[in-house]
Amino acid sequence: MAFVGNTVPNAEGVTILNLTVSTRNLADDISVISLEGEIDVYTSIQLKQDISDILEKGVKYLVLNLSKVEYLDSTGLGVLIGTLKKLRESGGNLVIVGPAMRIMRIFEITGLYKIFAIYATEEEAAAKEGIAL
Amino acid sequence: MTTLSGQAIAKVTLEIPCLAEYVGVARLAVLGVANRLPFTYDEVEDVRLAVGEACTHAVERAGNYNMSRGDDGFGSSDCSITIVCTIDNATLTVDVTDTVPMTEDNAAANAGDDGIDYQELGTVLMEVLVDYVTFEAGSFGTKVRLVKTATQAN
Repeated sequence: MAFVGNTVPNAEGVTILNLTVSTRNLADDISVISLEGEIDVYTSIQLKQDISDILEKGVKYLVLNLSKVEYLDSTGLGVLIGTLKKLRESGGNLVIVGPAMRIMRIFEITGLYKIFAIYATEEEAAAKEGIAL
Repeated sequence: MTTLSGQAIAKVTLEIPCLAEYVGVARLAVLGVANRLPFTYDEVEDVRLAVGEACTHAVERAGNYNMSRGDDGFGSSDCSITIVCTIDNATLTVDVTDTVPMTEDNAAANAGDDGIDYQELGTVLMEVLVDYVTFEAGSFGTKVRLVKTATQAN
């Protein structure tokens, strides 16, 4: 698990993090990345690096779980588009899972819902994409 | 200052360094201001995202400006962003003004190393999320004006 962003103690002494990145490998070339928090101009640079590190290990199919993402901006969208391009060039794919309505609206406004495979749950993505969870 | 109906026009001003880690601060402040108006939840979120995009635009240009001088390309502590929120009845006007010098490098270098034009994506989002957007560039830097009126105003 990786944390991106400032660590700021709140009143209860608990650390507040901008973005949490958790990775689960399903096979040599299939990984699930679960994101929690905000993807913006600050966190997207580290996210891009984290994804790049995973792709360098030979991952071709990436399932990106956005169900706990509360904020996504244009720089975050850029990271997703760049990752999709890289994976498709190597014969793989990027699948997006569980975006909240607010996040889904951003994909709709930009028309990007047409180029990404977006599913409600990991189970649905696995069934449609032929991935064993 | 008052409106024609006699209600006070409120103004909230915030100045942040032109650095990526402070964009979240601007979003949070604008969220608080937008909650003062009769916006729906979605409208408040629209304003928050649009302001975030305007600030991101400034941070990216500051990064390009820094790189043109051989420095790090992640915002610039030499520059600042001023966010002025003006509440007039059910209309919120947010002026996002940066002090990033306009050069050929940061005016043209919009695409990242992956060929994706983040600023174009951000501009599309701003234009859809609020009712009215204007961009003004000058020797001072760049000013983005975002205007949104609450649909449930009456």
